[in-house]
Formats: sequence, C-alpha cells, structure tokens
Amino acid sequence: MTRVLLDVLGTFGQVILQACRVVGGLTVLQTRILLAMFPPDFDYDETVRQFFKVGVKSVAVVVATALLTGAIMVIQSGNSVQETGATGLVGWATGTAVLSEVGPILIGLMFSGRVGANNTAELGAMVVTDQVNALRVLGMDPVRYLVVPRFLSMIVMLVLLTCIGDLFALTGGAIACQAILGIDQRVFWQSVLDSHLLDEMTMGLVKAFVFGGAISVVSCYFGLNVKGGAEGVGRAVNDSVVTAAISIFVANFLVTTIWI
Amino acid sequence: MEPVVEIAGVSKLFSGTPVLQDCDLRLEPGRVHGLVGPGGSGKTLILKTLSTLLRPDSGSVILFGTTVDYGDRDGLRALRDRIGVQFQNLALFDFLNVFDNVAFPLVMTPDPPPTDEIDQRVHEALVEVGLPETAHLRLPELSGGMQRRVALARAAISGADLMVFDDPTGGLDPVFSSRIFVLIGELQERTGSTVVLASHDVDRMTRICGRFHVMDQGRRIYSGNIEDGRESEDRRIRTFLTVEA
Repeated sequence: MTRVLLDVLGTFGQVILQACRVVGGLTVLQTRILLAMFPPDFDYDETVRQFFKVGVKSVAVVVATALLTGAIMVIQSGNSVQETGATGLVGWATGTAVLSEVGPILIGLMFSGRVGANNTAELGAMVVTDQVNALRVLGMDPVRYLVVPRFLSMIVMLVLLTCIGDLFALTGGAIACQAILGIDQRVFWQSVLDSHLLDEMTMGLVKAFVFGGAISVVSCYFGLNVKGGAEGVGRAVNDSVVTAAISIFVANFLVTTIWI
Repeated sequence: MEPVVEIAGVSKLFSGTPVLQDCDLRLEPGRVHGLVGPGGSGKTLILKTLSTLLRPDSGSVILFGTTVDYGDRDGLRALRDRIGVQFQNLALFDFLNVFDNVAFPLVMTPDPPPTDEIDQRVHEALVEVGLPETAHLRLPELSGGMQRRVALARAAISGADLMVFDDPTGGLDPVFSSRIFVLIGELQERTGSTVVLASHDVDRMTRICGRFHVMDQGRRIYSGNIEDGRESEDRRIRTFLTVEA
C-alpha cells in the first residue's frame, strides 16, 4: 500500500517537475525573443518568408472555419429566436459570441494545428539534422534567426486572419440566417450594426495577438528542444499542439477576466 | 608550437551515461588530423566539443590559445568565426538553394564582403568541388554525393583556421570518397588551416592525415602517426588503424 502511494506521489512529482521545466523554458525563450527584438536585430528576409508562409497559406482554412462557425452560431440560436420572435437579436447574439469568444478561439486552435505544428516539426527536423548547430557554428543565434521571425509573423498574421475570420463568420451567419431560418439577411446585418460590437471585436483581436504569441513561443520551444530522431519530432509536435491548446484557453480566460 | 585545440580532462554525461570520460586531445596547427574509433566511441562528440557546440560537464577546452567561456556570447562568436564545420549529416539548410547555402557563412558575418565578391567566391568554391552548374538548384535535386560536396564547399568557403569534417565520405562510393579526401587535402595545403576529420575510412585517411587520434569508449587512447599506431602493443589501436575501407 505504502509502495503504491509512493509510486503515485512519485509520478505526480515527475509531472509537476516536467510542467515546471516547460513553463521555465517557455519563460526563458520569451525573454530571449524580447531581448532580440529590442533593438531590432533579426533576419528580415526570413521574416518576410515567414509572413507569407504563416499568413497567406492559412487564409483558406480560416475562411472555411469562420464561415461555418458563424453559420453554426445562427443555427444554434435559431430555435430561441424563432420561438420568441426576437429576430432583431440574432445578429447581436452571433456577433457577440463570434467576435469576442468563438472566433478567436477556433481560429487560434486551427492556426495552432496548422502553423504551430508545422513550425515545431520544421524546427525539430532542423535540430535533428544539425541545421541549428550549423547556424550556431556560423555565429548565428537561432533565436534571432529562426524564432523572432516566426514570433512576429504568427502574431501579426493571427490578428489579420482573425479580422478576415470575423468578416467571414458574420457572412456565414447572414447566409445561414436567410437560408435556414428564413430571416432576411438585412435584418441580421442591421442587428450586427445596431449592437455596437466594437468592444467585442477589439477584445477578440487582443486575444488573437496573445494567442499568436503563445502559439509561436510554445511551438518554437518544443521544436528547438527535440530529443532523438524522427520519433522525437513526432513527440514534440504532439506536446506542442496540446500545450498550445492549453495556453489558448488559459490566455482566453485571463484576457476575458481582465477585459470585463 | 602552440596547439590550435587543447582539450583537457573533458567529461560528459547523457542521461547518466558517460559519453566522454576524462578525454584530452591536442591538435597542432597546419596539419590534417584523423580521428578514428568504433561507432559510439565519442568521435562526433569530441568534434562538437572542439567546435564549441557541446558544453562539457567538466574539463577545459582551449581554442587558438583562448579558454572557451560558454557564457560569453561575443567570445564564442569570435571563436566560431574561425571554425568551419561539415556535420555528419551535412546540416545544409533545406530552405535555401545551393548558392545561398554556400554563401551563408559569408553573408551572415557582421561585416559581409560586397555582393560581387560573394558571387565570385561561391562560384570558385563550387568549381573546386566540381559543381559549377548547380548554384541555382534546390537540395532535393542533388544526389547524396553532390550534397556532401556542397557541404564541403560551405565548410571551406570562409577560409577558417580550423576545419572540422565529421564522416565526410559516409555513404559514398569509393570513387567519390577518394575525390572528397583529395579535395580536403588540397584545401588544407592551399589554406594552411588545421583540419580534423573523423572517418572509418582509415585507408584513404592515410593519404592526407599526418597524425591520427584513436578514440574508444569516450577516451582518446592514442595520438601519433599511423606507423607507430599500427605497431602499438594495444590491440584496439592496431585494430582501428589497420581497418581497410
């Protein structure tokens, strides 16, 4: 019995220690990123390449996610709206939920799955093939050359993608409103405009900013700390996606609490 | 003559397992040094140590008369500027083409040369390794042997004082292997740099290496010329130095 209890405590302790190691490592990496950015001393060509890779190639998946999310929000609220006859509130309900909560979170999670996982795999492969060591021996700081461009591009692009996503989510909502609930689209758009959702939209964009930073730091951390070969890269990608998802929910809670 | 590399009492543990044990190594300048030993004997680790990429748990590393201080970034960068490395798995940047890979050490220096000079030096480096027409190609378009030659060109282009080659002919056929060794020998003769290369191809190494160092179980067990090593009383040394390719 005592042995079992000790084993459980030991396992629990290892989990706590591992979590502390990850949090410590993330904090150190975040600090190094900030130090590398002020004054700006990073590779501009690599930054431009990352902007394209991270942003442009993610537009399609974000548009699809946003369109469906907006439509689902309208469908979910459809019954209540039709029962109460409060059709004028459908735009407000959809806009509030999509702009401040569901949109940034879903786009953040999609972004993490697509860009964050890819980033961890790419950096992990560079570690196991000694490309990161090659940078070091050529006098380059991997944080300046590899991490800062990814950090900047993920933050900027996630904010821009969230803007695009907001627009398409509302469009999806309007289409669903007309096609499924039979409520005129103009009623939906008028409801959105009347609801003065600038505050919700701003909060959503602030969240996207924070999520972009979290996803980039987490994905770079796990990528640069890969141990072993291909198996290690797979493990790192898995850890990265899970940790990024947790970070998104924790950050969402904190931003919402502070904002409200 | 002051050694280029002086490693003393270096030890390293990986997950509690000793991979380098009280290892020392001394490389005199202006020669080609061969590093041999069985797989897992610590050859790659000692090369990473003298390239400043692996921080030992104990012991000292002196490069060009300066003790390596791993906390001093500027000092490390100054030392690394004098070292060229070809890694065991090449470590070419797969997001760059051949030209950009070879030019990388020149472009990324704090004070890069003019573009014309970079173009010329990259062209010369590629001609030297027999790949003058490949500058615009992406890495996947090259064979394994061609990629090794690109890595050789990148390691050599900056004219480093110390050039490190980790298994430069791994996986190559005998013709390409001989060609690579000849290129390394010519490179050393032309630049006067200190070269250290690890390989299992002792036969071909004897053509260019003036001094051999034998590693076993994380320790250096022999340093000297090939003839004395082959007559050593230690069977391990004789075995490693008489292995034919």
